[in-house]
Amino acid sequence: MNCNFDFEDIIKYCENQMSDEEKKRVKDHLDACEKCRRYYGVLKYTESYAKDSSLKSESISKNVMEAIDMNRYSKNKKVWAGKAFYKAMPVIKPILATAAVFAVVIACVANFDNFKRLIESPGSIGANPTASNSSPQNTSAAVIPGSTKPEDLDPVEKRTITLYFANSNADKVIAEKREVEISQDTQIERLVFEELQKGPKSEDLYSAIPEGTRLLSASTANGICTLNLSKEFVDNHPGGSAGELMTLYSIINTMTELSGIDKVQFLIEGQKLEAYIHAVFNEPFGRNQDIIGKSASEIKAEVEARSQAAILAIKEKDMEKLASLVHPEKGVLFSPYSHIEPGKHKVFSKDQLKGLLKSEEVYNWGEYDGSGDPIELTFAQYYDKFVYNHDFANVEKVAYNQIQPYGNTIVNISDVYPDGNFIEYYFPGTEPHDGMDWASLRLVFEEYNGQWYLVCIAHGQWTI
Amino acid sequence: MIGVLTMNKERDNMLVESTLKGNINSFEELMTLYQDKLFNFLAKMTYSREDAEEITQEVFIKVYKNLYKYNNKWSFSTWLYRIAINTLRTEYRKVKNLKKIDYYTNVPDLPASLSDYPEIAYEIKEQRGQIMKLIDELKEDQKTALLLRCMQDFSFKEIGDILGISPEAAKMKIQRAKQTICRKYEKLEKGGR
Repeated sequence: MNCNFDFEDIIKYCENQMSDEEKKRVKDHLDACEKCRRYYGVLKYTESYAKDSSLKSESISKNVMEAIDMNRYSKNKKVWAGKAFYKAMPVIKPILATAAVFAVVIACVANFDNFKRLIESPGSIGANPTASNSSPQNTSAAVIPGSTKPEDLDPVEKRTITLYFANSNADKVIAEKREVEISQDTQIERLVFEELQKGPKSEDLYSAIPEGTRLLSASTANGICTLNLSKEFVDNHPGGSAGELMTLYSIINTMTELSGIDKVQFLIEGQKLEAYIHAVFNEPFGRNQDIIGKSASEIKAEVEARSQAAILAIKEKDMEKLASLVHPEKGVLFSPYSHIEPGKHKVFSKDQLKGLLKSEEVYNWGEYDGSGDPIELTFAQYYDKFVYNHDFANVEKVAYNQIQPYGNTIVNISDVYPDGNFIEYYFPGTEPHDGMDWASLRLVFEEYNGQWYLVCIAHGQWTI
Repeated sequence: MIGVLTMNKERDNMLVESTLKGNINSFEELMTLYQDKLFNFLAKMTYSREDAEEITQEVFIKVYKNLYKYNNKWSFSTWLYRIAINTLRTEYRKVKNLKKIDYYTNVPDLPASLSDYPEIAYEIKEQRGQIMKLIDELKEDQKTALLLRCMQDFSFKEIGDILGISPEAAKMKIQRAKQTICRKYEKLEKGGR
């Protein structure tokens, strides 16, 4: 018997997505038709089999917990600082405690909640016998929360400071931010200077402060910060005017990041010098914005932000928006495959781009891989096939300046755009095609007047 | 239903945030909430307890490592399964083709009431093994969509998100999967008699 009953209805019936009336109709049919009844049985079993979650495993979470770095998100540094702090506690606690009382008294109006918290928190006099026994001043032991976390103590404040270090060419100073803890009785100028002396965290930057330099004193008045440095600052300088600029502006630009400081006056052993090495030294220095270069991470963040705007414009076919991101002089090149051929592939200026989706004109975009036939398509056709043929805006793998090891086409982005930075959106492909339907879109950006502009949209896919 | 889903979402987001603040217990809790279903899903995808365990572990390790990238425009479960699918695709495909699977022995136990009728039990078991084999032989994306739909109560939209396709395409795949299973089963029945 051949039955023409709608298969979809049986599915709906199985999933219980029908009105009572419809259900009755299907049920009547199932009673009568063996084939559909069998379908129904198969579907039902498929569902119950898929639903079954009875398999248990005891080892999974244990193994995962063993494999992961549990401190990944607990800021190792803080943990470390906390421990070091704790060890030093018996000695410095009385000082902190006194400071805490002052801080609380001074700040109690503004900080009433904090104050209340401190007072109300359960005292733990016995918790740290060294501290409570050793000092008669320590009447406020009960005020300090029993916890050993230094963050809870008022005198320590976290601040993010910006330091400038020399780059490897010694022609720019590059910003590096770091978080520091500053207590009430520390001078911020001193703390910042000492952080500068500790040197940069990133490997491609250099400290420019001569070895052995000591900060004898620091004071700020009327926007001028006076740094009184030891003679090593002059004696141990390696020399060279480039190095000198690095030294000066590493310090000056760092100091002028602080609020209330516009200029820096240097003193050596308490004296104003006529000149440092070359630079005139008896006047205060102002900040030099031009000598500040971008750090690699800043560049990356800028390019990523531009690329995000571009990929959304591409997804939404917003040509006005996309055109605004295109390089004003170079235009944008469209490469159908990973191997970019500037002579062969089409380049459009930002103005040309705006109306291109509506254009009927058939262009030659290069050659099809394999057959070698010319790719002759309108812009709209090319767009669907070689630009946004996958939802690249939502792929999981997005990489910066990285060429993934797949496909067998020679990726030559870095040769064609040596000064460019690119973002790659990569879709790994699906199982039924054995991953051969992978696709990628690379957006290449070059800098122009301090902004990153799109110069190339390179598509990548399986080639033979 | 929607209430429950939003609640889950809020709960998950809370746990994620708390993990990112360094509270490792929250991650353990997240894992407890999702590991059984994910493990069972992967067990069906791989037909191997050991592989499923291994991949589940790997997925959670990846989730932990990349948690700071998690964007709560996704629901956590969608994100989790997306990572699972990707792991499965990239790392598992080679092994599977080499394996011979005995579906019959993998059929979940039948109710005890059937133990008095070994012949019927045998027949049912064989039919069920047959269906499992058909599910396993589906195209990978159809199978994935089908299992996600049936076992996880994912919406078509969510399945689409996991597989990187539209909700309509996800619905289509599930429909096709069901059709394929039924048609092939029909053929087997006819051929067998």
